[in-house]
Amino acid sequence: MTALLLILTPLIAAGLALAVPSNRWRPWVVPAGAACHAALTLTVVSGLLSPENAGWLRIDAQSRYFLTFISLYFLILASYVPGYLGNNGHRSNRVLCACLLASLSSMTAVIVAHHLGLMWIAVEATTLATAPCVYFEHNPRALEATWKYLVICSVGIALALLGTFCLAYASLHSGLHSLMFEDLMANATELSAPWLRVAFVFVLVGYGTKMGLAPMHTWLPDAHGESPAVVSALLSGALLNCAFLGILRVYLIICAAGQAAAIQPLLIFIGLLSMTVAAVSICRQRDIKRLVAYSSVEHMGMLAFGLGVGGIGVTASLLHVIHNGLCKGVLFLSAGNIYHAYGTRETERLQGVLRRVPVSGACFVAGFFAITGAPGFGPFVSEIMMLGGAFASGRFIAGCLFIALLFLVFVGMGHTVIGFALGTAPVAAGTDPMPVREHLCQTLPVLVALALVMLLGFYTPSFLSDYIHDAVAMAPFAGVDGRP
Amino acid sequence: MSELLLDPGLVVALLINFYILTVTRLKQVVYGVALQGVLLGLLYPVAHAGFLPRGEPHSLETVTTLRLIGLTVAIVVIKGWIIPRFLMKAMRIADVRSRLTSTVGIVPPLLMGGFGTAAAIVFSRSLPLAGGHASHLLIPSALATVVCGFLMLSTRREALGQVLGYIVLENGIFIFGLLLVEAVPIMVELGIVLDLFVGVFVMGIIFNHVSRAFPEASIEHLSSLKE
Repeated sequence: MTALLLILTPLIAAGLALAVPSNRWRPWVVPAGAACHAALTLTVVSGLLSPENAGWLRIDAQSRYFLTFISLYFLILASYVPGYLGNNGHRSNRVLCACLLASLSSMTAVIVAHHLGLMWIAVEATTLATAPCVYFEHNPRALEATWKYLVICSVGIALALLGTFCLAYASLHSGLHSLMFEDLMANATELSAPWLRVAFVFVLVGYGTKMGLAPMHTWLPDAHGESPAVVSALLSGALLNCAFLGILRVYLIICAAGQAAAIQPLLIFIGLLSMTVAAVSICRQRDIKRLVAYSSVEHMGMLAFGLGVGGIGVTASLLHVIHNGLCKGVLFLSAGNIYHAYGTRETERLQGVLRRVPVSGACFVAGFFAITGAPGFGPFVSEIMMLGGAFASGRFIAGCLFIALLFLVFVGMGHTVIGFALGTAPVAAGTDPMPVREHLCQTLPVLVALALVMLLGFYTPSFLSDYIHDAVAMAPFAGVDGRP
Repeated sequence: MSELLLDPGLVVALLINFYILTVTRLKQVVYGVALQGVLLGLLYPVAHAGFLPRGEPHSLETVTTLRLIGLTVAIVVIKGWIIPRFLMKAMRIADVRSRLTSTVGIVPPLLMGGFGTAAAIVFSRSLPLAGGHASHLLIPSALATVVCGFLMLSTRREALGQVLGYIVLENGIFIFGLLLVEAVPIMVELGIVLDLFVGVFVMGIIFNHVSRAFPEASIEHLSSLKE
């Protein structure tokens, strides 16, 4: 019931957003709905409201972890929406507001659904709910991005359905007749191993498409580049992680079945491939939002790499979900502010960003250092843990490649970012060279996200490490200790 | 009884795959996809009856029978009537060319489809079948149909051709689903069918925007975003 309430609250808010007639007041429904969802989430995870864990919708350690993050992250993004849409007042925002809330509802469904078939339905629903958001600008480029997003992700998720069916067949084969995550985990050793492996390959390709793993990532830079800043941040920080949860659940089942060794090289390979593709594309990227989008491909590759490493790597991947998500929020939202001030996303035409938009510019630069793994920020912690896991498990070549790719991304991204951050703002005819006035409603969410990234660089709250510990403890082989 | 109907039905579904890969008139492709959908919808109760435990009389409870009939009707109506009608309407509104064109011609995808079908048959031998699943055709035909859908998706130049390829791919997954009537609850199956339907629906809406923005709704116009 509690889980159902969590799904329904944003859905009701979405209905409300459709009903509000005023274009000016409608955006406020989004933060209101997000706040209700966050309040409900906090009462559930703090234990005030204990969910009954029966039926298809359950709230276990993994659900708590992802739910806490996604609910708070969405609240940060939602508080950015009214200010952002105030700047784009000419276009109706009815569909955007409703679809943002609907996507929160479907993401919640992905997290609490413990029936893997139901989870598949929810993942497909997230694609359908976010596609209209990508098309918000209604221009040919946005249209192309939406088409690619819809077709490539639908096909990918269809393959994940095939994988889910293979898993169902493995369960049928052992006489289990169930697709519940808990049942599969409990009886994992009896499941048919060939079917499990086939299932994992399809699920990895399928949800991996949605997650943006190379070589199925082709939709990602387009969709992230062409959609509004807040939608890019949502896709990158929350939606990709939901797809990751889909892979994680099946991964845990495979580990419990004792088949981990068969799939780990595949995960490491696809992780390093994604990082390589991203590093090469970042080095010659001339569009600020696509730059950040390729960084998403890189970090999704890291999540896969962490799972492939196993042990402490799984813990690191889970931790990296939050670190990467918050950084993407900082980067995309501040990139949106920079785009608004300059009217262009081409890095060659951006000059003196730190002087023109001091707060957003500084946040973007800080976000760049955070995401590339500079010490003192969250991602540094999880990346070091991943690396430690790789070396501890004796994967020296993979570990060295990981370091080399991190370095390449740092140089490539740094070259571009420092290039447009410094210098003097261009004095074009009729434009004001003075700093652009930045509204608090557009900078505060960025600053909050940045503060959280910095906090996580020094301190991981005990409740988070407890959730991670419980989640990792499910896979008997995977955790050395599991506690970060 | 069920094996008598199931295997021929699957063979026909495989033949429709090749038909879809061969014909270029858009209407014929839509009819082919619809026919395949209806066929699979009708195979659903056949497969269901076939997988009941052996030895017991095949007496279904009334509620189960009603559910079965309801779901069969829903699948047949959605796959055989609503989606084709919707696609035809989209075609009329968009005023697209009545022929699909392929980026690599007709013969290569057909050959690859044949090769994919053979590979699917070989590959599925390495996967163990559960007891009572007598039909050895279900898994190969599911994989072969997925391959054919994928081929169509990747070689057809028009946006509508891609949507049709997606539906064929879904049909392949549906065939696999026939193996699972015991493991997957009916609510979940209904949800999956509904999701696919909404997916095609949203694709259709975006397709209308594509056709309004670009003449002939060819995805070759959709190539400005690249590195």
